[in-house]
Amino acid sequence: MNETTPTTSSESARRFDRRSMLRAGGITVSLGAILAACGEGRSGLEEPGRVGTATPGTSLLEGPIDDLTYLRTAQSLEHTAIDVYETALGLGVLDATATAVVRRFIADHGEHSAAIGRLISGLGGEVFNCANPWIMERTIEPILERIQSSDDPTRDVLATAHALESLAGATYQLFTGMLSDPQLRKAAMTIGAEEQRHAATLAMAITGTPAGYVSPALFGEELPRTDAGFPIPYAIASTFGRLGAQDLVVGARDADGARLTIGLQTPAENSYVYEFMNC
Amino acid sequence: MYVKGPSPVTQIAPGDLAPQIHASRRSLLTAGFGASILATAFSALTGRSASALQPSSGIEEDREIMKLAMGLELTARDLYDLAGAAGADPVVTLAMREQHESYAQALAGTSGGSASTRNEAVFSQFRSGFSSADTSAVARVAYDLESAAVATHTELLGLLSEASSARLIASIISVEARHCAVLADLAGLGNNLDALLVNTADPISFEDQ
Repeated sequence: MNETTPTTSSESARRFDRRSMLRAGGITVSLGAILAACGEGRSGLEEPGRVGTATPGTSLLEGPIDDLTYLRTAQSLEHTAIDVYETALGLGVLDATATAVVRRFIADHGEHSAAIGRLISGLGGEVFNCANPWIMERTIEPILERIQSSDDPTRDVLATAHALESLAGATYQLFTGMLSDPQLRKAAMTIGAEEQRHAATLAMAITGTPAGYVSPALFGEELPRTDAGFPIPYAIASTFGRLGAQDLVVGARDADGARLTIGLQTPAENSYVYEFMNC
Repeated sequence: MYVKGPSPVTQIAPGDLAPQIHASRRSLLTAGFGASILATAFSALTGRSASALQPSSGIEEDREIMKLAMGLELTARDLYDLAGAAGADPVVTLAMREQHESYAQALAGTSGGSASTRNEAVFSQFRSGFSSADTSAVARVAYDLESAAVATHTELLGLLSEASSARLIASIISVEARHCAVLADLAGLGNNLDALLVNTADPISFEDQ
């Protein structure tokens, strides 16, 4: 029979500590060796992994954002509107009254662009007499594609015009709060007010009057849609000028019974016309 | 688009509208306009001598300018009340009345005051025109008022130093510009593109008030 010598608690703690330390050190060294072996000579992409087949994202353009950027972006929207209207006229789907209105709007946007161009030149910048490339590619081209194969191109042209004019008005309102010079703000909102009147005129033409004057939402009522599910535009749609997306539904129904639904957003960093950009 | 001329709705030349609206653009654009408009506003709002006005900062100047805009909005609200009471189209007059009141409240919040002081001179000028059950006739007068309001607010934008003040005024201009288009149509000028799209009004001058 072996006798064991009773040990004190302090001796036990000392032994435990020594043993634990040795064990812990051994584990650390082993894990370190394994990790080092796994990490050696690795190659390949270092970006996070991707699942699925979605198109890779594009990087955000970077450049100084100043008064010139806002003005050049506003000018690009004027030319976006002109391009859309000229395409619409080419479709030959508008009657004489609508054609006269569209021609007037083209002239107005040309004057707006010239006025903005003078402000840009006054600041020593370069005018941008072209449509906004980002908005054209991502928003306008898909819309125009759907309009050309639409079950009612006239309806879609007018709805697109209303959304574009509302977007232009909202953009000038937005930029008024971002421009640094009060005189530039005044000039911007002079044009912005005209864009809003364009939008209101189109809303009345599309919805009819007096129904198209005031949105029922202003009286606390539900916003109706047409029987076919299209949003109904109103000349007075809100109490304060809206800056949110302009909802637009265009085109014929697809195989799933859906139409192209798109929200036109006011320009931001991804759609600004920076000073390094040329037509 | 930028050439001013007679109102396409009332056919009244801007110079004939009223003392408050005549030749205002010239006076607004003079170098001393800022001090003049502020002095007048200060005097009207506080009852103190205009010479006591010593704006201490851009924010203080903005507050005085916002009070002028607020007074104009309260005036519009009260004028639409007259039209509603007289029996003009309730939908349009009520909607516009409510919106002008909302603008006055928002401007009062920004200027640090209460929405309580309307512009008596402008109210007197438009009072009889708004006191009618003839919606089309009211629309013609209201068109001139709204056009002048848009022109005035736009002019004030050139005087405001704070971006937050400019943002509020811009959001008001956006909708008041739409009021003009609606009123042109309501006045029977829905086929007149100039009436629908162009603002020929001059800003209201506060110099004589």
